[in-house]
Amino acid sequence: MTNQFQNNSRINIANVERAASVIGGSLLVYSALRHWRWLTIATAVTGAALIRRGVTGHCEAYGALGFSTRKSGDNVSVPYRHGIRVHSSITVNKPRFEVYSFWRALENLPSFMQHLEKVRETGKFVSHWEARTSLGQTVAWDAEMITDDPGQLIAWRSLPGADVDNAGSVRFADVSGHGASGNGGSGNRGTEVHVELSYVPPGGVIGAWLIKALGQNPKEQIQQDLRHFKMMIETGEVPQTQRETRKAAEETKQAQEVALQDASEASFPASDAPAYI
Amino acid sequence: MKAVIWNSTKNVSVADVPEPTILNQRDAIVKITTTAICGSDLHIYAGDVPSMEAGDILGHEFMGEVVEIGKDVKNLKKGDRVVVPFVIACGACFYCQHQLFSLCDNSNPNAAMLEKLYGQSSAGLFGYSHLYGGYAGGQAQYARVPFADVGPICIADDSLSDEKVLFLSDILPTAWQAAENCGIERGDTVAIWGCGPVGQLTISCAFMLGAEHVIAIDRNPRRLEMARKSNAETLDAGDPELQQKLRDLTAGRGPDRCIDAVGMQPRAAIIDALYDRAKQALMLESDHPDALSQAIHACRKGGTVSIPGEYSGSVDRFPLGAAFAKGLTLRLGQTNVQRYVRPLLEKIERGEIDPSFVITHRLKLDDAVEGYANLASENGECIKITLKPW
Ligand SMILES: NC(=O)c1ccc[n+]([C@@H]2O[C@H](COP(=O)([O-])OP(=O)(O)OC[C@H]3O[C@@H](n4cnc5c(N)ncnc54)[C@H](O)[C@@H]3O)[C@@H](O)[C@H]2O)c1
Ligand SMILES: [Zn+2]
Ligand SMILES: [Zn+2]
Repeated sequence: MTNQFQNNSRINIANVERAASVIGGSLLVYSALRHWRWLTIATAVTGAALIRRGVTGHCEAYGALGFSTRKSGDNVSVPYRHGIRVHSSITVNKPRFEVYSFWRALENLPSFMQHLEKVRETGKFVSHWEARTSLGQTVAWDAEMITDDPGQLIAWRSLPGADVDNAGSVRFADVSGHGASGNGGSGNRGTEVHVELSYVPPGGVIGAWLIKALGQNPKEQIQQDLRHFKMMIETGEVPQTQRETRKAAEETKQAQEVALQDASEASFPASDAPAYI
Repeated sequence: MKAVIWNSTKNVSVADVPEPTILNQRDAIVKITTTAICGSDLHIYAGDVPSMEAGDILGHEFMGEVVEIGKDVKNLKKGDRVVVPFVIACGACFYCQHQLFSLCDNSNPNAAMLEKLYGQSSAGLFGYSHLYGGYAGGQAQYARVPFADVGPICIADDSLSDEKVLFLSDILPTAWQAAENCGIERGDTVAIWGCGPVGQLTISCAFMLGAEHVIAIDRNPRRLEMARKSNAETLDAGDPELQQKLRDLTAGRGPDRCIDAVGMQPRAAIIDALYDRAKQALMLESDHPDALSQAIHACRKGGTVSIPGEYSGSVDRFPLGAAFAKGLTLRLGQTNVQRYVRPLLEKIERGEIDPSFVITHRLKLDDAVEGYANLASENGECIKITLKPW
């Protein structure tokens, strides 16, 4: 689900900086999109944040959470109906507590969220997040955990001053119909992981338009991160491939073109086109 | 190192490419001693497999010596002689734990692409397009093997030649699964369309699983001759009386189990078949030009049609009505290689089967281009080609 953001904020950034933010942010988003395979939530969010600063001329955190028990508008990070919201889910073939624990150890998050550089717990419920963009810039924010229900639910939101205002939750459940084992959730068909994420689409209407125009799909990004989460827990790694044969392909192509040219020159004036298909 | 790379449709070459390196801790690097060209590679060659990119290394049937391992690979050591399954599987997901290795959740880095196409993704495969992960293949001097603690099987007995065990990588398990999927009962008649290497080995596996009669069907006389050596009766696929002959051989019932070991047809063959159809329509013959349609038409009521032959897209004129009316069971899919390698190795060790009989040509990797061309040509004399990279 994507809702466009209505913005009526005050301008508190100089024009030059605003322009720079828009250009830089657009570059970020654009570059992330060109390398879509590596694009994750964090990149998009980051590029987007810069655009927002520029377009809105305003940089300030929104408080509180759409899905929390608190009322909307009352100190929410991403006010209800005011952010891009995505949800996604995956099934992990491990007991519920193990899956929960892997996510709860926040320093594990960068192992499956590709653009997250580092997450560090700085207090009982407070953590510091750093992400690196495709252009090599680092962005950071602090987040607080607002719900930690072991084996069931983790929810967090960014704190005021974040480069990107965001909030999210992860819910863990035994695969339905099985494994309601009563002993702390060791469902024998594994664990369902349901993620909700919201962030303020940078640049409001324009930012949201830009994201769409460039074909970015926040849902696909979170889905890919979740796939990697599952791979990390189930196998300990994310599969990789290496591809260094383009050079060989290029050389072969050139050699074949030269050979073809030689052959057709040699057989001149025969006019038959080479039969390839 | 040397490797066979795909450039474009019907254009492969042997190129000098960088050697693979360990990327994950469950990887191994294998120095390849023997590799082969599979009928599936011909689908790529013909341009029927989407998401190939110029420079992709081909090949998924290979074996060799472990020369490097990641630190999490505990069951292998340098110097081990291994055969590598063409399916890459993690061993830990729901599907792997249910022995459905070809459906592995975790081995395909491009899962998102395959998910878009088919709803869900399946396992990564060596040298078999980017939809299946974009892994470099085994028609090369070295290959990187991910999840090396799950796939490769050690061949401890040095007296077993490469040729005897190589096909544990693909076509022997494929033939076994094809026959097993039939649910053969003692006394059954099994009809097999396609006498390529897969069909040939399926004949042997069907007998091992209790078939009484095996009928092998192909157009290529050389291949039919090989099938007869395995005690199959043979029929010509182009015979307009084929369906009648199958009924005659089974006193009207039809074969109990039918196997499509042909798979999707190269474009040229489809055009031939359309032409056949037009001819047949004029002669008021029923039109069952391709192997799968023929198999469904021939199969006895309540029988099983097993499909090891590969399909990647939609099929026109699929005779669903016949399958429905006769209450057939269809079984299909990529082979769960890891499930069969051990029991099949034991059968090879006991001398119950020697799959090397399908090999007709032994080439150097350098001659792979010729090998592909010959194998792909309608009346080429090759049935199975092995390649030596060193
Ligand atoms: N399921 C798997 O995991 C798996 C593994 C290996 C191979 N395969 C597939 O199995 C199939 C066979 O492999 P192969 O190596 O034996 O290939 P192959 O190309 O050597 O053999 C195919 C044979 O089918 C014959 N044929 C073509 N049209 C026919 C028809 N209408 N009736 C009867 N025969 C016909 C051809 O003459 C040829 O002999 C291929 O589709 C391949 O992709 C699947
Ligand atoms: Zn194959
Ligand atoms: Zn798996």
